[in-house]
Amino acid sequence: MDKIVNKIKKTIGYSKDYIFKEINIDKEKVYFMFSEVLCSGSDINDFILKKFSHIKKKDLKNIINILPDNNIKNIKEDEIVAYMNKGFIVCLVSNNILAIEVKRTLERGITTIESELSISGPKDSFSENFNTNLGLIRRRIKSSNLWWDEITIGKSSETKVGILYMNDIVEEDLVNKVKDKLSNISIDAIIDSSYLKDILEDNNDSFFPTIMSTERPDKVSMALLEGKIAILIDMSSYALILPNFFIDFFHTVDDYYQKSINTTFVRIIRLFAFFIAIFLPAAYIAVTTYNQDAIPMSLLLLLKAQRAFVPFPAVVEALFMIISFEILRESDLRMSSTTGSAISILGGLILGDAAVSAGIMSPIMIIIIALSSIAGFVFTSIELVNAIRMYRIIFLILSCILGLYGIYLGAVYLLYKLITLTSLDKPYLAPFSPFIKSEMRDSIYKESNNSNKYRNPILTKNKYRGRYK
Amino acid sequence: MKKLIYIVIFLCLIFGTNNYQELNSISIITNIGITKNKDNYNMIYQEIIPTREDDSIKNKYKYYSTVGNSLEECMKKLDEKITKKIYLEHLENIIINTDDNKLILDFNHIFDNEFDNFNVYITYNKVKDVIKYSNNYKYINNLVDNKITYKKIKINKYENRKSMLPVIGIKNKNLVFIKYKNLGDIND
Repeated sequence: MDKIVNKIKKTIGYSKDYIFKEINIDKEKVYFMFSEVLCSGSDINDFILKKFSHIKKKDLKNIINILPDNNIKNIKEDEIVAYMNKGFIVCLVSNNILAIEVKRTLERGITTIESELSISGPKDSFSENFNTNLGLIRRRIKSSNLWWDEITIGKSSETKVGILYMNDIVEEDLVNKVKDKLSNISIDAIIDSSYLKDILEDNNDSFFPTIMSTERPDKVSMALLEGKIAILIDMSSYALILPNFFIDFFHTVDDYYQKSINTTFVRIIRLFAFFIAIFLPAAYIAVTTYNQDAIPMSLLLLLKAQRAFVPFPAVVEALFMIISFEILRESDLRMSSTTGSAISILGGLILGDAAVSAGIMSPIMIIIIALSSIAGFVFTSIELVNAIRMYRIIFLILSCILGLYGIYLGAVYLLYKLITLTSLDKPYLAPFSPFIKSEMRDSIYKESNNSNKYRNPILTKNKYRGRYK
Repeated sequence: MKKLIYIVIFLCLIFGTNNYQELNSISIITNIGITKNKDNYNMIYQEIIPTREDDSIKNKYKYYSTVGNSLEECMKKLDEKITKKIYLEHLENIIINTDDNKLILDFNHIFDNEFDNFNVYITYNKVKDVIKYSNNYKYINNLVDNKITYKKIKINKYENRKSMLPVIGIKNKNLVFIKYKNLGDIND
């Protein structure tokens, strides 16, 4: 026993948060080892140490049945440190090694959604606790067909990763692919679910996201019922959903909580916003520097008057504005909400107005970049927002080299990238390419939830929804 | 695939930016006046210069004039005279003080076929005076109901139809529409 304790002390080095305690019960030594930062001190005192102070030597062999804890395990010597790091108190008693769960509550509980806001629908969001997150999904899907497989990833972090799917809907191949990819990961630690994105994506060189991360349990539940797979990671408040199609990033959970006609209208607006976000600055540069004949005379005169005193070429002005906006956005993100709003006012209003008054910027350029940037933020997926940002700059450069022709070339390349992109080997541009008629009921146009009877045939063979089965 | 992308980028950098012109560096010509003399041509360019004054946009006009033996020579001289790049794609009107059919057909040689959507007017006053009266680039167009563009004249020629050109002039210190003049068979 003493040997084991000394060995563990050597293994953990000088870490002061590990507590070693020794008590004698009728001259028999009992050792306790635990991490005071991970274990609940009151639980240890009330349910373990108090109990041990009242028992006798003869009861020690039957201690597993005496302690009032539902998670007591007999473990091996080489598992001691791992269990201590999981919030267990390890007890060496009568040549047995027992691990008793006394985890301290370290999570912040279920909070409201912060990044994917919706007007209607549930407001609860995932937290950093795996079991809580799983519970939030189980409360929504009570079917026994909601299965999950556990994988531990990360040599140092030993993070619990759960692969969730609806057993009666999902394609088995998809689950196996995800399991294969996750099992082959060799990494020190998984600190957040984002670590897995790169590994799970088919095409890492694409700007467009193929894996969706969400903090909404209702979104994950909807995805599972569509035949998708969700991945929950311990200590991450974001779940991953895969596979995804391009059109999925234009949808929000709100779409399913309101009238279909409103949803269709909003989706059309989002589509416009996508094109404005990518193409507007490039189109402006193209028509003001190459293709002036493409705009009416009155607009041409207006633009010329605005730029009359601006000393920089239009493309330099545009890049300067884009970079300024990105700096403003980045500083706004890192600051607290009170400081952030001050920075927004200072950057957005004062600097913008001063730049125009000083003649460094033209008002029209500020309108173009602001409109384009705001349009980019219509989408909840930060990965899509980033992809839009990159393509905005690519198109801007193309337009300053070749004008509208450059934009056409870029658009062809963009289309090529989207068509060839896959998510878990599923075509990214579905249901447009390949064309799936039934999925058109929930693409840009949205039919009411009641009349949409079919699941996406690319995702599942069990294509009839619920009561129509 | 990567090689192909590099080649495309390289070609773009080599052959691109050829027609790059900033709005600040172009001279937008709205009206052109042509006078055919016995031995030569007199050509006037009206440049429109939009400027921001207080919170509104106001248009100012600048005039450039030259004399040459042919229309091409006049244009070349004006090109040298104007420091900025001459921009004719938004040309509104050409005003000529002759009804010489051949002169109108000569436009084909000097203007790019892609922009032929300008109106053609005839005047018997001094072209310079007429142009200066049009202190708004749409002013002349508002005078006439049935304008005729150079494009339409070319179509009429192709279809062997006659073209009616509006005649404008100065009366009582005002620019007015006078009549339509039949140019006769344009093929003559």
